[in-house]
Amino acid sequence: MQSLQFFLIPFTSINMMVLTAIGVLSGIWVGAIPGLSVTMATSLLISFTFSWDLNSALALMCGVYVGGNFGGAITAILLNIPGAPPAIATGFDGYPLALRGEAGKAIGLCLSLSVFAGLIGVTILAIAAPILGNFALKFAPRDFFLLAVMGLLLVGSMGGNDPIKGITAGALGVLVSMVGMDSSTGELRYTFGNIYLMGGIYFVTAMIGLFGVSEALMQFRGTMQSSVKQNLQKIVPDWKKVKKYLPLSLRSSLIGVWIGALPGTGGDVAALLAYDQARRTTKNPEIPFGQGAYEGVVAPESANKGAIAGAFIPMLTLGIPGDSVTAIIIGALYIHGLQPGPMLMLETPHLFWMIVSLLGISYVFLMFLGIVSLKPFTKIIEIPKSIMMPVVIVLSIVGTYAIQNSLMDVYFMIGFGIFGYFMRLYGFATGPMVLGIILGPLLDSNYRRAMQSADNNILVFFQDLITHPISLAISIAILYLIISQTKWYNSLKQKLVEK
Amino acid sequence: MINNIVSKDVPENKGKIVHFRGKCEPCEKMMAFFLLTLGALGFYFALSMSHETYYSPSIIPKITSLIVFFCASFLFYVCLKKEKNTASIKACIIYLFPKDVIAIIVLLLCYALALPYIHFKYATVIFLIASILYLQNGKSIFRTIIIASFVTLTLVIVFRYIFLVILP
Repeated sequence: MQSLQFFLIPFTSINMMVLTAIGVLSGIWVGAIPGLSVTMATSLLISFTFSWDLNSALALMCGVYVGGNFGGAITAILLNIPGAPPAIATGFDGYPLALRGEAGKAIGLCLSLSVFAGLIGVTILAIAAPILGNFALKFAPRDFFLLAVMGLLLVGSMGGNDPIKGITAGALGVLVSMVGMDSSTGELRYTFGNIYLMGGIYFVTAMIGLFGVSEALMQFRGTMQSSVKQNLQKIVPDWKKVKKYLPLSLRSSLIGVWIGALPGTGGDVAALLAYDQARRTTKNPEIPFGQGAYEGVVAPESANKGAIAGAFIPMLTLGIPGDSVTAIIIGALYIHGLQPGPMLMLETPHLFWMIVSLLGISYVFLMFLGIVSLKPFTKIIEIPKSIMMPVVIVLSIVGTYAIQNSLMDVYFMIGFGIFGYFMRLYGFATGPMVLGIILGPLLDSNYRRAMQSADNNILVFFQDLITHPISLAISIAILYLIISQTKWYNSLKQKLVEK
Repeated sequence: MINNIVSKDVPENKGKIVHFRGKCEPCEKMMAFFLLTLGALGFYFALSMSHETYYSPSIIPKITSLIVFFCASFLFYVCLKKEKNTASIKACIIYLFPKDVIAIIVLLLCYALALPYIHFKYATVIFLIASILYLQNGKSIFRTIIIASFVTLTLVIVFRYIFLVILP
């Protein structure tokens, strides 16, 4: 009963409701602008909300977090430039849909199912936070290493027709992520004495170059094509379509909550895993994956919305941030004299229920504000490419510079853009390279920690993989992923179906 | 998948999604060779990193550079087998750099290099005017100037004054 009272606090405060709505709306716009991340917006908000009371500050932050996560999908679908890392997978099928003139439909569908998936995530957060939080704590470094390997195996799904090219791009990405000073030993790797390389290459720099600039350059191969007219008559999807994708959205949302609850893995990894899962389990998509399958938009968007609630689980129960935004929210709680962790739920249970409530309210606002702000965004794509693409290049430069205020990042970004252009010309997908850059540090640090705990003994390391239940389960999943990509498995599966 | 688009310079295929299986694109061999070299160099430089234990900083760089090397070698071998006739340098350049692409890359590089000297506002207006005018074959100069100025002004207001982002 008391929990319900705490849950209803935001509903009784007009101030909190208005701030949540403002947060969602500004989050959508911030998330949609490449280079302006939700993390950045939330960290800026901390400086604004320093003197506010905690309830108001949390209302604004939760709104921005939810809105920003959705905003990233808008530019991913319209321009193939993910506004935020969790939207990387959304662009794989979202952009081909925009090329068909179905951007409005795609965004409308992903908006309604995102809200559904988000609310599922919030429900799980409310029910299972302590249980899931404790389970995530049991993950050892070798499990995170295996999780990174599992993520990298997705390059098979993302690499298009040629898995070898996908693997090459993924490995190149990991190699790029190794540039800079090793965080545990301080040793310099691939810096060649260059001071700018010592800090490493920030993955957003590479992401903007590989997705944004390379896309613009590809567009210039056929600049004078007229822009695709977007169908804006039916933004709100019909119930039949929503019902069709509801089970997939539910599955993806659960994946999102699960991955989001693991510290260090956020909505980006969740979205990629859900995309892969959708690709494997959807038997007869209306449009093939990679060419505009609605399943390819629904799955990653549902997963990254689920991951939002998931990221709050370790934050609220263990004091460990699930992703970069929750890390900033932890900072905000510290500023207000609170210490996130197991004691937070015992000492200030109202805070937990208020966050649950604020996230739920944010999703309801997202449904309405998302639809309202959709038309102006969808109009963007109807601007002639000869005007749009130079503006995209300028946006990419501003976005890259904004990360660290460094012109060197801009030069790196242009380099990645030109390299990405060559990659695309020769059929190398740029997605696996970005995935490699994101997962590289996770792979490297956890492999080394796992090997250290195995006393530098390779046999013990492999023994650990099969003697610990969580490691064994992930190892089996990895083996399945590898086997399911072989011709032998597919022909066997086909034979069984025929029988 | 859009990442695998290969638009051909054949009029009827212009802008369409065309993927030629079983055939290498012009200079694909060179791309494979470039990646192969990248993998080899990656391994070579990883050798100079500390490597005393199985958890040394050089382990993952070595493994990944070897993966790049072997995958690129395979791609190079496939291209060697498939393409007996080597495409001429001219054909390669035409394929890699159509007129519009090369012009935008040059403008982009000039823009990036000019940023520290003439700063964001002026550099952006000039870049936008030059690129839009080029892509529209010099049509509607007045309209282009207005668009470029409006876009720059909007970016400055949104980023500098609303989001408090420092511009180059």
